[in-house]
Amino acid sequence: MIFAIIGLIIGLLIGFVLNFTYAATFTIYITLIILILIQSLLRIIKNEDMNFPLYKEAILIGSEIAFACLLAYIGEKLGISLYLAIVLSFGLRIFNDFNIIVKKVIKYDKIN
Amino acid sequence: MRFDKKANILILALLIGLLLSLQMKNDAKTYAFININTVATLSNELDATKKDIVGLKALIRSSGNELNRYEMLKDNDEDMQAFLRDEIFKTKAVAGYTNVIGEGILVRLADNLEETQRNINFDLVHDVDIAMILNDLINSGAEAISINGKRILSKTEIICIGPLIRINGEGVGAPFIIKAIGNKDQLFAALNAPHTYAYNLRESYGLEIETMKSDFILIPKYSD
Repeated sequence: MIFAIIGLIIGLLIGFVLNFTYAATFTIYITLIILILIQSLLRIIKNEDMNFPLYKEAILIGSEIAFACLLAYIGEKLGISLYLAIVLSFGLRIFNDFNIIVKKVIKYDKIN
Repeated sequence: MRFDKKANILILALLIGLLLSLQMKNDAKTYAFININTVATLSNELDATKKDIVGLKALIRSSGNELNRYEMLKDNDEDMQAFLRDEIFKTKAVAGYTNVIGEGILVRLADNLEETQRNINFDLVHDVDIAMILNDLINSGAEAISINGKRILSKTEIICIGPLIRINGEGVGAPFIIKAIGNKDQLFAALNAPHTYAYNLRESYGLEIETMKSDFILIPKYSD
């Protein structure tokens, strides 16, 4: 948890210091990537007792990002807002994971 | 093994922070995500604007040509005068301030004089009938039109004033004699072809509509 907050702060600082902008057409993809990363972060925090090596996580998240971007690109070419499907699915997962984490923190399952 | 988890979390949080800040800095507020309908509407607008531009360019060209003509004429006074007189004549002819002579048709429109049992309004010539017939004539290429000697101008009104019809500010009564100059066959067809307005008036309502072709018709100029 502490690592997540530290990483977030450092990342925000680096991002604001860096003078780097991109074309507006990539906004959708960046949003999708942010969503996928948040989901992955919550998933890892949720699965406390499971430890996967770094490269496996990298492959999983990378493939997710690649597929989401491909889907969004196809949607844009076809004129359908296909990225909404990805936003919906990852949004649902984020809420599920967040719910589980909060339940673990407040020990929801125990009666006392 | 614990190290992997921490590293994972750290790297992911770092990336999220980086991308979030970049996204926030990029100021995407001015851009809206649009759907396919908006794209179609916008492309239609673009096409219309492009057509407008082509039209405006043609206007510039024609205006330039006119300007060139004036430039050529401006050195010689006599030429200029002749040109301007010609322009005045043309403008007057279009506006209806000159007598016009040519081939065309004569139309006589009168009320149905027979005894019928139906509403009297079906047997009368109304202002609407005159206006429709006039439009038919103009549509088939009439260059000059008069009704009972009243020249039809761009500002002419055709309005019902009780038993009469007001044309150019004066009352005109039935029967109406409409004179029109233009291609006589086309004008004749505009009133006599099946299911034209005049044909229906004659066949269904029984109004008297007589049409006559003529090679020589004089239409007087507008007089106040």
